[in-house]
Amino acid sequence: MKREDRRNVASVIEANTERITLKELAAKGKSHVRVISGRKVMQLIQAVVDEAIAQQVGEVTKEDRERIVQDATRRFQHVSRMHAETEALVRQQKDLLGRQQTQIKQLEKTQATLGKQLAQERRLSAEREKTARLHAETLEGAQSHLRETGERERRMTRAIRKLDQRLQNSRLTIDNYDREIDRLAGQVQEDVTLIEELQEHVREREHELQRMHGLMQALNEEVAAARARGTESETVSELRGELGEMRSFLKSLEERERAGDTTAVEALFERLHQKQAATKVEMESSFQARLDETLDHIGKALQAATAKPIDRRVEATDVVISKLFDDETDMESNLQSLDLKVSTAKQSILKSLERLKELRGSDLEEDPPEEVAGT
Amino acid sequence: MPGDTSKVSFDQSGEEAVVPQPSRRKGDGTAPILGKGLDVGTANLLSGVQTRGGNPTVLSERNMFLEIPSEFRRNRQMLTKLNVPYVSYRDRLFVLGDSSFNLANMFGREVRRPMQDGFLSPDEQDAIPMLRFIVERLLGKPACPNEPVYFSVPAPSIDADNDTVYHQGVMEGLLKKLGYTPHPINEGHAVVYAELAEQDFTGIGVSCGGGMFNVCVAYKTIPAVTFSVSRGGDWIDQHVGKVMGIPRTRATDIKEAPGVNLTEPRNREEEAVVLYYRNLIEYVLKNLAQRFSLARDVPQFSAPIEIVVAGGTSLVGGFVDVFADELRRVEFPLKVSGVRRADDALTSVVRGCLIAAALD
Repeated sequence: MKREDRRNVASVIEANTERITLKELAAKGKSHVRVISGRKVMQLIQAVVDEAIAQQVGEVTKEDRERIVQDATRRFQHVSRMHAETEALVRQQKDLLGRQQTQIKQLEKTQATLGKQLAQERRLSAEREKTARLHAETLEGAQSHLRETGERERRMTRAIRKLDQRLQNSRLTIDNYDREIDRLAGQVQEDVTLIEELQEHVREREHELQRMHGLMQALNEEVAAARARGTESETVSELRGELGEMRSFLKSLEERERAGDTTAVEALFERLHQKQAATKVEMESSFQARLDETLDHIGKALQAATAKPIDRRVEATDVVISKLFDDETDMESNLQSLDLKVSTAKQSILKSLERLKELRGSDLEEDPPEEVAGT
Repeated sequence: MPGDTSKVSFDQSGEEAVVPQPSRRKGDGTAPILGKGLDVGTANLLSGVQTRGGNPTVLSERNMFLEIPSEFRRNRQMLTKLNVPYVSYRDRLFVLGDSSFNLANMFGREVRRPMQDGFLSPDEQDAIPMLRFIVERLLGKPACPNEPVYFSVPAPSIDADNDTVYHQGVMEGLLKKLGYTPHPINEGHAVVYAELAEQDFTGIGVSCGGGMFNVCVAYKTIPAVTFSVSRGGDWIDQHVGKVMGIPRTRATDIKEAPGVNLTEPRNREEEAVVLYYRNLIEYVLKNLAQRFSLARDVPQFSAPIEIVVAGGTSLVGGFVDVFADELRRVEFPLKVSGVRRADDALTSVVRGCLIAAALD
């Protein structure tokens, strides 16, 4: 056999067999193996080929035999080369598969790590959201309080504006009353002037009356003188008659004027007085009512605007409160039969009490000792 | 506990100093004092009476009741033997106080509360009779006819539409029915009486209750500014429960668990508790600052004043530190020398009432 043929057989055998150790064989339960050499295998193949050729074609010439063997050998080599290539490809693919499986394992590990990181990030994110909600809630509370404060301030501002308006209206009313008072004062002044004129007129009349009296007296004296002369003439009688008439006329005139003037003046005074009284009363009551109303509004508005928690301590009446406890007929309890848990405070009150009494100026020793009922 | 100071002082240089608490004097055997104090709180009622020498005797009862099924009416003697206080009223049976809380769990029911947010509950029809019995249990019979009793009342709230007229009127009537002469005293003012003796009763008292916070600014015993906010421990529990998605009772447990410190929250729930505490304290301080700036008759304090906090809601660790921290952030119109918590924060209000009664 040629050396080249022996190498080919060896490579084919290499390619188509599996390398295994003796230990592995023993592990599989194999204790004996059969060994064959490459040369022997070639001989066997040759023998098989010769027999196959002999059966198929009978006696062949040496040249034919050699040609057939060469041809078979070429074909065998070709097949074995192809087989070797295929094996090489298979080994390559197996290597590739192994590397890819390793890569897959690494990727799976990376995926697990990333999954854990993702879960952790999600937890942190949830915590941050909760904290943000807490802050948002606090902020909302603060904003709500700010809104309420702003609303209160706006109400106060509106109330103050209303108060201001009312104050201005009150001032206008007071101004109007002032003007009315001035007008009435002027009217009073006019009436006073009129009264003075009337008085002047009365004085003139009185003056005239006095003058008339003077004339009458003069006439009387003339009559008396004529009488004294002892002669009573027709003239004197006439004069006497005239004098009497004048006297009665004067008297009636006087009386009429006096009555008339008095009546007029009295009427005028009365009218003035009534008018003044009525106006004064009306003005006063109207002003007072208006002032009271305005002050009341101002007071209420001020209270509302500057409202602060004033302690409105209202004592409920005994009647109202006692009604709450009236329905005691159906009550029964065992409180009087039970013991109570008694404890002692950790701190005394004596120091505070003493100091309070010092501040208020009372003497501690003046307090008479009194027994305290047991609990 | 680290970080849980009971007092924070601000010296004039602006630096903080933790000052150790002054030692308390023992009672000097002063003659006994007539009069009683009554702290009318949303969650708890306390009564105080001064015995011969020593510290006041305090009785407390939860301010709640429970109507139990009518079939138990025949077993009233059993209730008495078990020391469970009951009231039979209009053919119904009610258990009062602490016992009602315990029984509620047994029957799987909720207790009923005569008071809500510091005032008599408008929705609770049986509130007044039940409250009367609880108060009677705490006060007992008067030591003498018309013995004075000073009871705490809240100030009207600045953030809710309420007033004290009905609440105060009913409490006065109730106490008169029991034979006492009632006198109301503002809750914050009671804290001033109990805790600011060394400062001549000048400073700010804050009562931190379950239903509300009551604030009183006093000058030489005279209350200058008083107000309340309708937020307290219950408000914190409610909001923490809401944002954390947990039941309210769980939020209460978190807040009251041992080791909780507002300056060192350990988890998200405690962080939420801290947030709401800070929000509430900031709210109170800002409103106090605003009331000061608007009020006309505010006294001028010549020296820095002290703030004292009391009440169950102030017992959480780190409360004083957080309060002092928020105070620094607010533009407060007054100079404050320091913030401290009352040594006996739970009985501060009732002791203040008792002091007022003893002065009567």
